Amino acid sequence: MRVYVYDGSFEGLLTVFHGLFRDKAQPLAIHRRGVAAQGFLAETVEVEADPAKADTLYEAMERRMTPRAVRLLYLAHLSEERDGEMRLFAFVCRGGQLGERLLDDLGDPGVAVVMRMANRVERERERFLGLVRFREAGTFFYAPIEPACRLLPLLGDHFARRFPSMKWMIHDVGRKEALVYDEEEWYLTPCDLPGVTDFGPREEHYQHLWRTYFAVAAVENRKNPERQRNRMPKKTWKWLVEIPRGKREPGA
Amino acid sequence: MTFAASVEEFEGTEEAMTVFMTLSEKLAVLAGAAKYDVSCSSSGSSRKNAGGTGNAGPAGICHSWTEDGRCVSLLKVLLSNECVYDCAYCVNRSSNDVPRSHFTPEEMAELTMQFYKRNYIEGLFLSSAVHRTPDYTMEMMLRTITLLRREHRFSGYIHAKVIPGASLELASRLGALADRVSVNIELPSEESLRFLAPQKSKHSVLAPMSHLSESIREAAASGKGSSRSLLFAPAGQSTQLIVGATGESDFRILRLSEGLYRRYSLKRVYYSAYVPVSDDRRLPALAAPPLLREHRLYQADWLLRFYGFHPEELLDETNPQLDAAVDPKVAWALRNLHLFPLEVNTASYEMLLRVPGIGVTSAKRILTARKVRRLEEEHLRRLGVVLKRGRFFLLCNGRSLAQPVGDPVRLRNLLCDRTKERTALRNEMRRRQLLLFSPAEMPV
Ligand code: SF4
Repeated sequence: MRVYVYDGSFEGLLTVFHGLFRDKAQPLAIHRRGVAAQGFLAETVEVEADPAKADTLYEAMERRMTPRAVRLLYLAHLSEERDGEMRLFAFVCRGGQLGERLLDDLGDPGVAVVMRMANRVERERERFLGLVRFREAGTFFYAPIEPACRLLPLLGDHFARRFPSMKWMIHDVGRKEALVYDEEEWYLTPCDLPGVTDFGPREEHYQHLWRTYFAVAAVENRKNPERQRNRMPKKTWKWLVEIPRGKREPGA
Repeated sequence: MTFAASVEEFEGTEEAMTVFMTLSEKLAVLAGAAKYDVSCSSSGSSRKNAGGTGNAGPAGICHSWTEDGRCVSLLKVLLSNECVYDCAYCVNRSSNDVPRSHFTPEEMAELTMQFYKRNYIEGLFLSSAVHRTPDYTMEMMLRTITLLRREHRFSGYIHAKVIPGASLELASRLGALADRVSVNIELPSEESLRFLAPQKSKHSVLAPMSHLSESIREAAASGKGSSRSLLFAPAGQSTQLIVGATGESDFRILRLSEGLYRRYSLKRVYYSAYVPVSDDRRLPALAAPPLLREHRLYQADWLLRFYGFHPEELLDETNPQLDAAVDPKVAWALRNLHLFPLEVNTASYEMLLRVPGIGVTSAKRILTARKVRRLEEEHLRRLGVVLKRGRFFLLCNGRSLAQPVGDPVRLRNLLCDRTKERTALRNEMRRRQLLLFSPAEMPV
């Protein structure tokens, strides 16, 4: 058994799966390039993403396991959980056996775990639809974020529908990747800037107004900071305009 | 506007700074005056982007959570807090000595746009105190919302309050521009309104409510199957009432809510625990707002809307208050032990929904999963069904999930809400005691 290393993209992962099915091979581990393999002595195979192979498998899976199951697989992949790839592989194998009934088998531990991964991504996406904070930076709007999952591919459609006549950019600071919208379409691009924080007086003015609103809107004798942190974990505070600077995570 | 231009604008004059200070202070006053309104939902509308800025999603989005743990979705402000009315329970009542202010429609629209473009908010929740007259107030609100929709080409969410006593024609114009409209019923009975809000009446609340519900129904009917449907408050109508300022029982409140849902097809009734903002002798002296009671009412309301319960199944004249210690579904199950335990593999959807701890999601998952295999306890756990409470009411493949507890009193103890809600419970007890000694003359 071998260890497979790919570029981290969904296409790359499907290429790995494609090879495994072709060779009827069982992997020892599959992981993204750059994620440290944990002292395996096994043979390592580097797989380059191959769109043609990925497409073939993609379509085959849609036919065999339903498009919904494939969507779930994609979402679960974006969770970027450690060793998640092996679970995704098991899921696809199980899909080969169960076909269209795969997602009905909620009692199967392998299916349940992939659903949970996908759910985690969906939930974080939903949260970030609200927590993205744009700063007006000259001619465009800029929003730094640091989500646990790789959310950028899931945010483009939403913000393009909402702000079709603005130029904007959402920057995943941790992953050094940006989602850019140019008033026509959105695309992903590597982005290695450190998160920018200073935007001048006009932006500062509106940030101040928002902080004012946020502070005033809480009803004093209903205080419930536990619930607040539950819904809006502290790790998300770093880039939130409404949190007073002193309370944000260090580095912001 | 380009960045350079805006810097000049800002650095230009001192005057500019004063204007901004004023805006910030105004915001503090007018958001502070609006915050006791608890409804903040931005759901139920799917207004599409029309080339300008914004859209509304059917699910609604929370953008932040304030220190009281509530979701911030809409910019919730009063256009003015300069009230000519004198409702005893309200901070903005004319006899109260608080700072007063108002936004101009232009300021309000601009602020909304700037917040919206930064993704701070889902839209605007515009309300107002009665400034001069109800009609004048509504005119100002209408001007604000018209600016947003026409000048700023804003397609985000707008929830607008209808001012009781304003003309029905103005209410209609508001509905044609807003996603949701609401008329606050404020207090659960006519007597209470007369007692605490003498300038309002049952009629001034119910007339616009009924008028709007007809327009909403007509617009919805006109839109069936056509893409050019007439938009009239597509997210429907809601209302709010204050709990604990007056003496109505939970039973009475729930029956009122059920009636409102049925007659006016309201989307939501919001319950707001009375926050003591006044030492008026007509009001109870509360140490803290009755949050637990509010919470139980929401749970019961939920049971009415989504679980097929009727108020009469939950409460009656001899037993008119919701149990503070257990949630209303548990309380119902404890009174109906003869219907349990229920076999997970064969029970109907409706009955599954009535099992404590099982919600719509869990019930649906059970129906799906049992098509593939007979369900055992481990499967239920994997489906994510929480069995903490349900285990006393369920059988899995003939096996019970917990040691049977014969004694209902012991069972009730096991099903009590613990920890967090205990604190709320203590507050509630304190409130009850205070009520006993309160000099306030309570309307019954
Ligand atoms: S009319 Fe509204 S704002 Fe004015 S006192 Fe009554 S509740 Fe308060």
